[in-house]
Amino acid sequence: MKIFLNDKPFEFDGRHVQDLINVLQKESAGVAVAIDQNIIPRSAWATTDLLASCRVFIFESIAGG
Amino acid sequence: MTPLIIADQTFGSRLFAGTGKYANAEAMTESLSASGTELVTLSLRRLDLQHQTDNILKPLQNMGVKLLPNTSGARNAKEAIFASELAREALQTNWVKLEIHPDPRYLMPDGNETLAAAEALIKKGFVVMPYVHADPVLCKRLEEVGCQCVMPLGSPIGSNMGLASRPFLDIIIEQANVPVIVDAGIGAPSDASLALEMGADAVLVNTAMAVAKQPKQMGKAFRLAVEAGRLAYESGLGEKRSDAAHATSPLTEFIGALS
Repeated sequence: MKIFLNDKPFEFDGRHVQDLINVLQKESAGVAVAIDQNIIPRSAWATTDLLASCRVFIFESIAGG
Repeated sequence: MTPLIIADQTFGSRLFAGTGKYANAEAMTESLSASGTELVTLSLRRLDLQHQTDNILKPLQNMGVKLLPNTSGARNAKEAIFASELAREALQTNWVKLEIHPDPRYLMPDGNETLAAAEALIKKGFVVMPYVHADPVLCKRLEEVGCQCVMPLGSPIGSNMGLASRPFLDIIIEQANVPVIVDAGIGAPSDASLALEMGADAVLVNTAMAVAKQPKQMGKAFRLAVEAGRLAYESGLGEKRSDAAHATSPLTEFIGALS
């Protein structure tokens, strides 16, 4: 199905938020996920479904002052 | 040297450090280790699928320093609150360096939005460290709404111009009942020393350490400067006097005894 990842179309075959994190090969530390404007706590990644056309935003920690 | 306490956390080092602008993760960890810092700032951004960046989180976690996410990129209170909640989730901390700058050119902090965001975040259980102009009235307001410290700027971010705001920092330090951390513009160890000698509780340094030719050595230089400044403050500096010179040795009597 097609979802929107950080405002860009993204083909995704999994089901949960955690599947997407796995596909992206991201470690969970330092990462935050929101669907639309709702932040999904890490504890809910494995149970939160991603629906077709949903708008997912993934944020990562980077260097900064 | 007395430790610094912010909220429920005690810090042996009064030097906080940013992690931006280092050439690579190794240079960053070497510099931060040499600086003795116990608190470092991080930013959050949208995941970049095209470019992989150095994983800086793991080496920082290995160092055992406290991680302080900032809200860099937020242009108003609403965005800063959202960024804080994301950061809390990403880094599992309720501490946040609140910075709101609507103008990307000079990165000047927006005091009104910062105060509004601080008040909201404190109600949500955050420990808020607000980055603001060296505005004594605003710093007092931020303290009144429950900020656990204030972070007035010395001069514009990344400018290396030192404590251009000194007269206002003096007032902020005199009035504050929470720690005052001078942030931004500290370009040399002597700037950091001066801030601590003036009674600032800590400084936050990034550019000056990160872009030095030898970041590790500069980290050490800042550690020594901050320690010297604090020790001098705690020891009690003599007042500056312009009326006359006052000898530290009884020269007159000695010379008189020769004749």
